[in-house]
Amino acid sequence: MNILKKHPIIHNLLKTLLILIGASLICALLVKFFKTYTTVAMVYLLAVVIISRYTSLYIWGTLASFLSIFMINYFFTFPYFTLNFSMDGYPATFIAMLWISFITSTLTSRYKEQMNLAQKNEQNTTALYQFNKKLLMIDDHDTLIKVTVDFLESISGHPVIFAEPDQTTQTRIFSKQPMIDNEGVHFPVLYNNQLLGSICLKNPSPKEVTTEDITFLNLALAQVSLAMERQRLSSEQQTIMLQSEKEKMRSNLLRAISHDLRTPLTCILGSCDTLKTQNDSLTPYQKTQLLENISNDSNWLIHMVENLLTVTRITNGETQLSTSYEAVEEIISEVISRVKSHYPEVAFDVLVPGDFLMVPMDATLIEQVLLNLIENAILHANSTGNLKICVQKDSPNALFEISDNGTGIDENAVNALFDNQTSDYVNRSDASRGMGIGLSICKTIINAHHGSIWAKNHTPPQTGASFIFTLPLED
Amino acid sequence: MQTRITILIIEDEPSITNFIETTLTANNYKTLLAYTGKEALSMLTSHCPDLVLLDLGLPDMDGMEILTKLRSWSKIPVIVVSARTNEHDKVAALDNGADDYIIKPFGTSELLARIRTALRHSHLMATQNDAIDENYHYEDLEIDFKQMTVSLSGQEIHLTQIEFKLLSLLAKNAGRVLTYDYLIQEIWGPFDNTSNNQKLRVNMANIRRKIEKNPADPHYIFTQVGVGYKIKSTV
Repeated sequence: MNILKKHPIIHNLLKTLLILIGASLICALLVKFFKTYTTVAMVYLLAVVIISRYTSLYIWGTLASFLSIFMINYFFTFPYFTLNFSMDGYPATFIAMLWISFITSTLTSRYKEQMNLAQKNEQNTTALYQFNKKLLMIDDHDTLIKVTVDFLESISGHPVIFAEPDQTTQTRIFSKQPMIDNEGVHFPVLYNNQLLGSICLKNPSPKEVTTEDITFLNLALAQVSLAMERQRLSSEQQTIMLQSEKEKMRSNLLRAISHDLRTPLTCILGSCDTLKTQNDSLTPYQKTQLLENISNDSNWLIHMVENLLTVTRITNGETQLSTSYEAVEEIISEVISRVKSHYPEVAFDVLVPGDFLMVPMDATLIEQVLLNLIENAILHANSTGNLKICVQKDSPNALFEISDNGTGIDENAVNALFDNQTSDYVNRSDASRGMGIGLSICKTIINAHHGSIWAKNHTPPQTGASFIFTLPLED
Repeated sequence: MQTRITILIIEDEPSITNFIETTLTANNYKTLLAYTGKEALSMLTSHCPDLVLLDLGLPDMDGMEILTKLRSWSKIPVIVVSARTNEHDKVAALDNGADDYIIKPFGTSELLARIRTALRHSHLMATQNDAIDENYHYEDLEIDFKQMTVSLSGQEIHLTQIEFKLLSLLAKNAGRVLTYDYLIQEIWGPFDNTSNNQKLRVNMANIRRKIEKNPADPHYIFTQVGVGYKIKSTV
């Protein structure tokens, strides 16, 4: 059977001959038992129709109609076993018979072709539908391309390559028309006449690619381009949303800060004016007081500007965070030396792990967090004892804790402390000026490092609060 | 009368020049002013000041350019004064030959202290160029460069060869920040181009553990994160 399947010509020829022999035998039996010659032509006609139906090309039907004419003439027309077309009336009969069988066979073949085509179309439509359904469920670009390539490979049976226009490393041909070169057949993936990519079917023999295939591929690729466009739009929308989120955060922060900047600026400006205009009438003590105010508020402004600078370092998003492995003890020691230059009277208890601990971080930002937290404890907590700074390895994180024994945090504010929403609470007490901003900057920084930050009051009888943040040990 | 020390202020912002000049004059220094890079270069050659305060952002050229030009013929101490807070800028200035780096805004006492340190250094360099391997001694820490020993409160401390090299390099430049790149090049040689400074950091951590009571609250060796290390000046 394998040989038959491999050689369709032999297969069809055998079929044709077997059916004709069968028809001849039936005719012979009919003639022998019923002595009727009229049915012979009918039987052969039937044979021709059957042959047309069950062979793959209509040449077999035509061949069968010729053969049956000769067989009728040879076997079943007087004189038997000779070919004689000159008898009265016979030529007309035979020509009519030939005509009828010829038309039937072509009609049957055409019907079969139509049926095959319809079947194929239906298959293609189903495949396209399935493919389309799959495309709709995909969210990322790489999977989309993988599914497309898999689909086209299963449909065409050839290796398929998908290339994008920006892949400059590969020298692929990007034409807006399908084209064939020695590598294979290239199809463009177009959306709005814009080239999104190119599909290459590797090495099909030129005969195999029919117009239907091209139409089908174009249809499938149109779906792909639609899906790609949809994806591009949705990712664009996502970035816009992220950006607007960031923009919102930034403008909130800026609003809060510029509000806070006004107070010290007013104080500085006022003090300067007083010194300039009423210099003679002021006592030395008053002058010192005014100058003291100016210097205090300037210091506070410097601190705020540093925070602002820090924010500009992260406004471009997490991707811009340039982390490197830093030794925790070096960070802590630098922060402490910076704090000491501003507040020489503050004493620290520092506890770092005995083992050398390296944590990936943006050192400037984390120093800013520590500075803000320490300054917070110094300025707002009214702490009396030493400030405790403790770093522990708490796999997979490093845990930083700054604790004081001051007044602690208002229980109502403890949860909203880092959300920049504490201004109500902050405004009620002058001492807490700017605290909310410092903490919300801390939170932004720690979040950008994929860490977390929280505060808690110590359980009585211990007084004061702890600010704790974690940083992941792995990048 | 003792000749007063001359300081050249290269800065284009009059208000800042004003306040620095007032402070310096009040502290008995003689000041020279240059508002542009060109002016600065000509004053450097004609007046030969004892110290330069250099702002990096000048209207006509980058302060870094002046630094490079100056370093090609002179070793006078240069303190860079800048609003650029990036570690990268600090490192570039220090590697280009600046003796110190001070970030705006700064207080007058800090400025004066840094000027004193820088002058002391140039003095040391000039007078004791050969006697540089005199021992380092600050509070309890003592480094004997000839004997290659380090002791803390009289107790000898055992350092590895690399640790000792690092510590003595810092001690010979006490008070100055030595950048990561400089230290790596001095200790491991110019051909060590592994870009990470992990081994330097680990060695420094080991040194700290040996000589500091609390490595996170150091007494002798200080870190400028992202830039380098310095050891407390002896004077």
